[in-house]
Amino acid sequence: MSGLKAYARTVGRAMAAMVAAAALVMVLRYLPEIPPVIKLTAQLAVAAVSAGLVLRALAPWWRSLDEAAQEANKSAFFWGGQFGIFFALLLGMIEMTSTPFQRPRMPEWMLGVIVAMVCQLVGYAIFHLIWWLRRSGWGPWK
Amino acid sequence: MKNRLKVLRAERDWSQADLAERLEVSRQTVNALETGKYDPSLPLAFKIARLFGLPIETIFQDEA
Repeated sequence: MSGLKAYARTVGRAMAAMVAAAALVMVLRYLPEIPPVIKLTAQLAVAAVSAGLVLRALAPWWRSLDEAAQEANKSAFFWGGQFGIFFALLLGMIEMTSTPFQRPRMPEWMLGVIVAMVCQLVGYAIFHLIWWLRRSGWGPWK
Repeated sequence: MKNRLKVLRAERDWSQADLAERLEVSRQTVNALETGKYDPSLPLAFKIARLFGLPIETIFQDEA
């Protein structure tokens, strides 16, 4: 199986686990006659367990990578993640100091989470590509 | 770090994919090693040395 296929399968599994967990959290939210403290505890427990399951789903894919591919991921997570989060922070600052734009209809905190995640993912993809290009002897990195 | 991987591979008439398969790494990793842009871990360096039946220092040379 190609690396991309294996990655897609793994991410698919992780996404399925996350969707299942989100559904469970929503079900718990709308269950009547449960004290709020117990409800919140149960939701946090589901979130923690599902986060663990996602890691478990990702583990075989991570172990299947060779050392250079693991190194590329580590580098991309660090540099791309840093780049993305600072970029998201900057976006927030620009938004605070300028005329508000037409925001999507969702809670502000959720919009913040999505923007931060997207910026980090984009940063990850860019730095992952750069890592491999630098080591391929391609173009300016000959 | 410089290395003689490309020469050693050519002597055996192996493609990058052949070497990658023998080392259980990707072809991209072999390419990165050959161009000297990626230094292998010690376990991988020993594996390469065992595969070619040579001491590590005859395959990899420190540029410092």
